[in-house]
Amino acid sequence: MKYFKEQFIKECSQGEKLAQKELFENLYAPMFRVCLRYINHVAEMEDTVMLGFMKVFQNIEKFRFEGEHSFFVWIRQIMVNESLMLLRKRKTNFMLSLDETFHETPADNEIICNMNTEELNTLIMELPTGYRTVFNLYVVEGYDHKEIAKMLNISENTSRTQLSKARNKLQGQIKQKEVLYEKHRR
Amino acid sequence: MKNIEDKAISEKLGGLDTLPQGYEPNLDSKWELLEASMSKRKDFSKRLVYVWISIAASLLILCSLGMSLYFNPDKEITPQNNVNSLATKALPNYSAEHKNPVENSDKIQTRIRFSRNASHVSIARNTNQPLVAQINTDLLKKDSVVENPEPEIINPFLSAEVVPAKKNKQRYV
Repeated sequence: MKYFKEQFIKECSQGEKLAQKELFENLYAPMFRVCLRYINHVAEMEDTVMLGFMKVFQNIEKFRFEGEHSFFVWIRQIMVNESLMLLRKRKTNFMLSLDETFHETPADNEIICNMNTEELNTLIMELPTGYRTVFNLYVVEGYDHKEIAKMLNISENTSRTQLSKARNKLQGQIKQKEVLYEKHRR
Repeated sequence: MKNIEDKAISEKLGGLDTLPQGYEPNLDSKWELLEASMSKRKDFSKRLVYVWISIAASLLILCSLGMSLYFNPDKEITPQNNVNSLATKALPNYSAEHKNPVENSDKIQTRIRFSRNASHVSIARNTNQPLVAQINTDLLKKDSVVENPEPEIINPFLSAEVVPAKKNKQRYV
């Protein structure tokens, strides 16, 4: 998470190009990562990031400074909203397919901790769009099921079930990795 | 268990703030692109504001015009006003015939007949006809020209000098 001083944000809101450019260069990579969690198409993701930054600069006057983290959180929220908007435009189905059944298999926390971040990210990216979106919103962004249901226009129960399925699938993938690691060690 | 797992994942993913390997975009060109699109949007929004203002202004003008016509009907151009002006223009243009109505009575009579035949012709046509001497404008104000097409004609003989007839001394026996 990056920190920004109030003076710097003021300069950006006053339309100073240098400050705005600095902000863009500093936040492009983290915001790219945020969008990457939701969208797996590079061209669409780039467009989403650019649209997100445009919204940031257009609405920066509305931002209220509430600590050094607040600006980063605000921008990240804009990026998440833009990504969800794109998913809605794509008409992604966040509803469950009823024929699928799932059984929870607990994953070892140690394995997750020992995993490489890129590897974990790749595993999450391999999840279906509906699962991945709910998982990211709940686990990474910290929204609750009520908020997720409102954002994705689904019921709270669907959100809960999507999350459980996402966890289940991810744990299965981690287990597979674990087996592969074991084999590699031997 | 779930919470610990979630925390570990969110910490790991939240800490990712570098671009993926192999992906190196030109940030300068991206910034230029962003700047250009932002200025375009500003121009577009300005134009949109002007369009809305012009639409609102034209609507306001139309409304005010309508209101003024609705609440001040006297200012309307009605046929009555036209007739009135025409009637004033058509006021008698006395010719030499009228100065001596007794002598020219034959001519006058024929003109009266002619004007009665053409009674449904509009008053505007009668402007050059001197024998349509006076039109009662008050009457025209009340009724339209079509409803009261025949103008009131003053008999020129009434205004003529009355010459007493010579007494006939012959008596029938």
